[in-house]
Amino acid sequence: MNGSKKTINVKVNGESYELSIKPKMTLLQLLRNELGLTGTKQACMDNSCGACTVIVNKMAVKACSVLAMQVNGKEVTSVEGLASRDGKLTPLQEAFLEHSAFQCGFCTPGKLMSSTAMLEEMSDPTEEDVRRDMEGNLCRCTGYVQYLAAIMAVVRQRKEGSK
Amino acid sequence: MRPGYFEDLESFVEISSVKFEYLEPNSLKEACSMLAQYKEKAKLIAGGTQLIPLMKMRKVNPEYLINLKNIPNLEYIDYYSDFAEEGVKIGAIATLFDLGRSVIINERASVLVEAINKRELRLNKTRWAYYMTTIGGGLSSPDTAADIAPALMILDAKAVMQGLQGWETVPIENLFTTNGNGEAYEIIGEIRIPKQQESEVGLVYEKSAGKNGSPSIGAAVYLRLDLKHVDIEEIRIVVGGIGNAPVEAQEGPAIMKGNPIDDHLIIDAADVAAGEVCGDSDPETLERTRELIEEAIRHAIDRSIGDFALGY
Repeated sequence: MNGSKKTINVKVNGESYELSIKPKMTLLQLLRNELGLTGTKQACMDNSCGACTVIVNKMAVKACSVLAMQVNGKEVTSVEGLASRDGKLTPLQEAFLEHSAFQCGFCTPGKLMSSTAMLEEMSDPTEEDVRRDMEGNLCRCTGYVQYLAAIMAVVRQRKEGSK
Repeated sequence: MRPGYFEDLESFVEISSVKFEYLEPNSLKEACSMLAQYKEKAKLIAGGTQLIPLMKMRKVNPEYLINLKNIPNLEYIDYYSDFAEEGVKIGAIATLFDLGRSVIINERASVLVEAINKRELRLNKTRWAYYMTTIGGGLSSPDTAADIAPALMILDAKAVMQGLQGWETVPIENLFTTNGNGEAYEIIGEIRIPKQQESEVGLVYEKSAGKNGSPSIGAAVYLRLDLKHVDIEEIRIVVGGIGNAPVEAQEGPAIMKGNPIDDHLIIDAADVAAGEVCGDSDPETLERTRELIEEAIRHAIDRSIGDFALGY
């Protein structure tokens, strides 16, 4: 037993990588330390706070509690991958800005990723759905009102757009 | 800065200061061989929702981590039909998310979907574990199985276990008995849910969230009516979340079986069943369990009557 390195192939924000990593490396470490994607935040490290939320194959996961080996062959999106290459923000990012849905901003990447995955899955979530789904994303500044308004604004926008 | 801060930080940032060898078997049989070879030094990992937090807290320090997630063709949800019975089969690494959105499971085993959805509220404050938890992993410990196991037990589901010598099929409840069922180093390969009678049957899962450290309790009820005589032909009650394993009440259901629907009987049955499953639990847990079972029985009656009641 030597904990020897293993090779994984992973697509992060649309780019394919072949990486040789220690099996004990978490997805969070992979993103931050190997790929330099520090938008994904490191905080509680025990999957309580949601600051490290990223999307793996369209599903929101907490990167601190997933081994990098577990995303072998999968597609990962971090907060850096939300906006288009020319810098155009997603409607959700725009709404977060418009509603000042952050205070210090540390929890914002996690919140954006959780809500992006939620809106991908649910076409018309209610405010209660959003509150329930976002329970795992904590904000130590207690900014729980504005981001809710931002998400609901996007939901309304989508509804109006589909009419 | 307190002494030892950086040492702490290193192990905090790394998943564990203990090195482990990461193994990726290509089949369940190969995984069994690895498990038999490394014994207590090895742990199985699929979604990792249970194991990784334990490793972070250093409550578990495996020397070998056997990843089941990359074993091909273990994520299926499909119908099965053999000479004895038909039903639905679920590969061990199908996730709770897969099950929750599966048309087959929603049609044939909706009580399992109820349990999964209510589990989410209890254990996971996000969808994280819902996306990652596999049904096999979820059943691997009494704690994580507290919700899905009662629902599977009420559906008479079986686990197909892969061992070194081959397959064997065991009832779900056997997964929680000491030493499993026979051969050591077995791995859950498949869950089989036999086809249920559809009319005049009420299947319900109800949940009571625990507060201030008291347990979250889940009750699954199966109730079949004889609509000709409006008698309760069959009733089963399984409660999870209390003690080490889900418990099927025997005496409570016996009070109702063969009798007409009666308010006093429902209250008595819930009372007796709660007493059976709670054992030495505190009065608050006992009362909460009683209320939960009563609610589940009433709900199951409503469901079993279904369209029949609407006809009147």
